[in-house]
Amino acid sequence: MTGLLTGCSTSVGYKTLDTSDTKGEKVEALIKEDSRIKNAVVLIHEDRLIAGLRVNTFERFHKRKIAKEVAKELEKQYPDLKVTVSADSKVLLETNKLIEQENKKNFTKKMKKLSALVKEET
Amino acid sequence: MNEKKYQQLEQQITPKPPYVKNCLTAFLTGGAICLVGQFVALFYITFFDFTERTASNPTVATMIFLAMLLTGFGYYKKIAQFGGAGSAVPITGFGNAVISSAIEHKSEGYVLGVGGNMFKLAGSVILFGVFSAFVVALIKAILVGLGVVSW
Repeated sequence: MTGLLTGCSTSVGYKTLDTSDTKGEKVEALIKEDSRIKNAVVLIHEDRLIAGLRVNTFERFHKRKIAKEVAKELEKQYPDLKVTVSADSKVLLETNKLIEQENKKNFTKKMKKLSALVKEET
Repeated sequence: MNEKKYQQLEQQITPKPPYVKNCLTAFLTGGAICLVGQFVALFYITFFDFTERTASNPTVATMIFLAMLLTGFGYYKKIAQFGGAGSAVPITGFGNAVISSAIEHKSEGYVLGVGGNMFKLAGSVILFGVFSAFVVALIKAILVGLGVVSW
């Protein structure tokens, strides 16, 4: 219930977890550079990168475009990673949950599921 | 008294509807319904595998279901009396239209009464909803085909 009530107001700021510790800081810096994004949670594990973004209130109209731009940039810099970027609050929420759980065993499974979820249309 | 005179008299006597107040109550009621809907959507996003995009379908279903229950128990008409269009325009008004006509025609039997009249008003909502969705999709398909916009 607390999650329901605070769902919108969670200000996680910027949070990054890179299990291989090589790209995390760079990715976070790249996202911080974009002034349209106010919160971001990034999780890099093995060959997958998931970034959940929260954009400024009035940029929400272009949030899919912003996510696409960030994804393109990340894909260009890290062609060996499977990049999923979304401005959907579900991604931010779930990625944040994953990072807080710190259970690296199910990272890959959960990340795969999230990537599939983002692609769902209806 | 001829027709013109009567109309003049009628217009003089008819009390002016309080447009500003009606707008305000409609705004508040519609806003309150949408707030509930937002919480329902948040519920589906938080506890089930729905994203912001996909949560709209179960949210709509839930809101219609709630409106149907409220109609059946007789609470929705009280909301509608207060809120007017604010309670009719959101999707809950659709649920209300279905159930209230079903209740109204129950005495005529289940097949010709309830079944035949349930979608009397809601049927046109569905028809024109589907039709306008088709037109919009057609326009978008043409625009994508011409390369103006992308999906």
